[in-house]
Amino acid sequence: MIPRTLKVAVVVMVTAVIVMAFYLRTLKRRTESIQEHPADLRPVAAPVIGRPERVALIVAADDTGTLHREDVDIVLPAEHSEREREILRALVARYEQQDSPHPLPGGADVKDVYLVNDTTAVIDVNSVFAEAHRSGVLVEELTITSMIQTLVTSLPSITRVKFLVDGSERETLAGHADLSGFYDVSAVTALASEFQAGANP
Amino acid sequence: MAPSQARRILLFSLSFFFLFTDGLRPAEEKLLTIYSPGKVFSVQVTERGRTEYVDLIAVLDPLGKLDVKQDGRKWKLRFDDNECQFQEGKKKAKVRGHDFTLPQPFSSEQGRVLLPLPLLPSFLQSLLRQPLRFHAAGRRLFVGTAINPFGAQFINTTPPTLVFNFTQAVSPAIANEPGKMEIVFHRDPIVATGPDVLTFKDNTITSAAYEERNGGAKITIHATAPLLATFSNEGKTLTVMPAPAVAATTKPPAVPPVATPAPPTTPVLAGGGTPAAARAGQHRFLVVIDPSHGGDERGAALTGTLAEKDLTLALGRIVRQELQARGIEVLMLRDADTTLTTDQRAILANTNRAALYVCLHMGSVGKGVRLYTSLVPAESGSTRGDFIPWNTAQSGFLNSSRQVASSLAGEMQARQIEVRVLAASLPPLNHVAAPAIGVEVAPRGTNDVKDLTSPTYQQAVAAALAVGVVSARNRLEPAR
Repeated sequence: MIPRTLKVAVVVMVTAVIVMAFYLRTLKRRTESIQEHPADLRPVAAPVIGRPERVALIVAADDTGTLHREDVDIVLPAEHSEREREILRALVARYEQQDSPHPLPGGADVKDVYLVNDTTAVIDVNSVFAEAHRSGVLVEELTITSMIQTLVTSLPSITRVKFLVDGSERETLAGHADLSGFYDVSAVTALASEFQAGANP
Repeated sequence: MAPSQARRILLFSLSFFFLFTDGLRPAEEKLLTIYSPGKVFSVQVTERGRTEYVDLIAVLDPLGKLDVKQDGRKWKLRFDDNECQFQEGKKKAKVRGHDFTLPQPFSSEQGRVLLPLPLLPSFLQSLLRQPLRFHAAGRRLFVGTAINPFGAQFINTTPPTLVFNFTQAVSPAIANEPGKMEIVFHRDPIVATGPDVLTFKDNTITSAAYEERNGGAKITIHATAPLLATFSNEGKTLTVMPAPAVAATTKPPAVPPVATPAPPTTPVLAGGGTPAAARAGQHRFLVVIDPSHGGDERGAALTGTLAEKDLTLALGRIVRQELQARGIEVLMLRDADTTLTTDQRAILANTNRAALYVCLHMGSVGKGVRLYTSLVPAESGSTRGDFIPWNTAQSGFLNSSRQVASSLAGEMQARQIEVRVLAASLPPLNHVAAPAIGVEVAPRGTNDVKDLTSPTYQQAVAAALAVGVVSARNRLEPAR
C-alpha cells in the first residue's frame, strides 16, 4: 500500500507543476506583448523648464483627406533644431492619441531635426515611424505634407526639406511617398492648399 | 635604315605593345558556384600549376555547422557531426572514418584548406551523403534537389515566339545588344534538358544557345529584330518575341533623350539597343499602364489577405481591355506577379516613348478616386533642351499631365465617382518624360475595402479612365 505521506507529496508536486505551468504561460504572454508593443522610450515632456509657448500644428485628417491647423501649448527649448524637433514630436504625439484623425503607429518618433542652413532642414524619424506607417498614396502624402507644413509654419525661412529614417536615406515612406530627394517647400505648400481646399476640384 | 627593316621593327613594336597591354588586363576571377536547397553561393577557385583548387572551409561553411581545428600539421574539420582529417604533406586523408586519397600531398595556405576542384564532388558526396551533380566546364555544383531544369519551345507563328519553361521561378539579368539578347542566370540553378544550341527556320529569331561558364549560365538569343522578353506563370515562364511595331518606320523620333540611371537588370521590355518605339513612328499613341507594386513588393495590405499588388494588376487588365476596345495601343508594364523597381518602370515608359503613363494604386483611406500629378515644379517650356535631368524629367510635361488629369476627373464625375486631383511625390512620376498620372482607387462611399474588389466598381473606374484618355488624346497629340 502506498503511504499517505507519499500520496500527499505527489498531489502537492502535481499541483505545483500545474501552477508553475500556468505562471510560465502568463510570463510568456507578457514577454510577447512587450515585444509586440515596445516601450515608448520618448521623454514624456520636453526636458526644459520654462513657460509653455503656443505653436501651430498642421494636422491631417484621413476621413476628409484634408489638413487643418491646431494650436497647442508646449514648453520649447531655446536651441533652434531642438525646438523644431519638439514641435514635430508634438505633432506625432497628436497622431498617436486615441482620437487621432490620422493615426500613426505607437512608438513612432522624430529622432532629430537638423537645420543645415537657413533654408534647408533634415527630419530624421525612427524606423518604427516608417516601418509601421500605413501604406497608400494619400495617407503617406498627408503625413509628409503635415510635417513639412508644421515645420515651415514655425520656421518660414525653410525652402527644402529632406527626410531620413534612422539616419539613413530611404526610397519611400511606406511604398508611395518619395523620400529619396529633397522636398521643395513651395510645391508642398501648394499641395497643402489643395488638401485644405478639401473635396473635389 | 632600309624601309623593310623599319617596317619589321614597327611590326615587332606593335605586337609587343598589344602583347604587353593584353597582359595588363586584369584576369577574370575564377569562381565555383554551389547551388544547395535554400542557398546559392560562389567561392573563389585558385590555380596551382595546372590544377584548380578550392578552399574547403569556404565551401562547407555556408552549407552547415563547421568547426575547424589545426593542430600543428594536422587539420580537423567537423561538419554537422561528420569529421574529416588532413595532414600537411600527406596524400592520405580521412572522411567519416574512411580513407580518402588525394592526388597530391595535402597543403594549406593562409588558413585555407585547399582541395583539388575535380576531387570536390566525390569528397562532398562522402561527407554530405546527398546526391551531387557537378558541371566541370561551367564550374557549377548542384547539391540535392537544388536544380531547375528547363526546356525551350519555338512557336513558328506571326510573330515568332520562343518560350522557356523553368521548373522554378527564375530571376535572370537580361541585356540587349544589336542582334542578340543575353539572359544571364547568376543565382538560378538552371540546367538545359535539350541540346545546347537550337537553330530556327525563321527570319527574325534565328538561334538560341545555352552556355555554362565560370559559375553561371547564359542563354543567348540571336535575332534580326529587337526582342521583347516577358515573364509569366509566377516567373517560371519566359517568353521572347519581337518587340511590337518593329516593322514600322525606322526613323527615330525627335524627342529629347532622358538621362537615366543604370538600365534595369531584369527588364520586361527589350529593345535590342534601340527603343522599340523609336523605331515606330513619331505619332504612335502608346499608353503605358503600370499596375504598381508586384512580386516581392506587396504594396498596401488592404486586409490580411488582400494585397494592393493583386488589385492593381486586376484593374490594369480591365483598363487595358477598355483602352484597346477604343483603338488605343497599350503597354502593360507587368502582366504577372513580377518585381519591377520604380526606376525600371520609368525607364520602360521612356524608352517606349509613351504618349501617356498611368500608374495604378489602391488605397483604403478616404473614398473615391484620386488622380495625382507629379509634385515636381513645372518648367516654363522654353527651357527644355536636348538633355532632360532624370529627377525632373516630368517638369516639361506637367501641364499636359494636369490636362489629362482634368479630363479623367471629368469622366469620373460624369459617372458619379467621387474624384480629387492632387499633386504627389509618387515614384516614378518625376522620372517619366511624358504626361504621367497616378491613379489611386479607394472604396466608394464606405470604408469597406471589399468594395475595391467589386467588378462593377473596377469596370466603372476603368471605363472612365479609358474614355478620359480618348478625350485627352486629341489635346495631347498636337503637343507631341
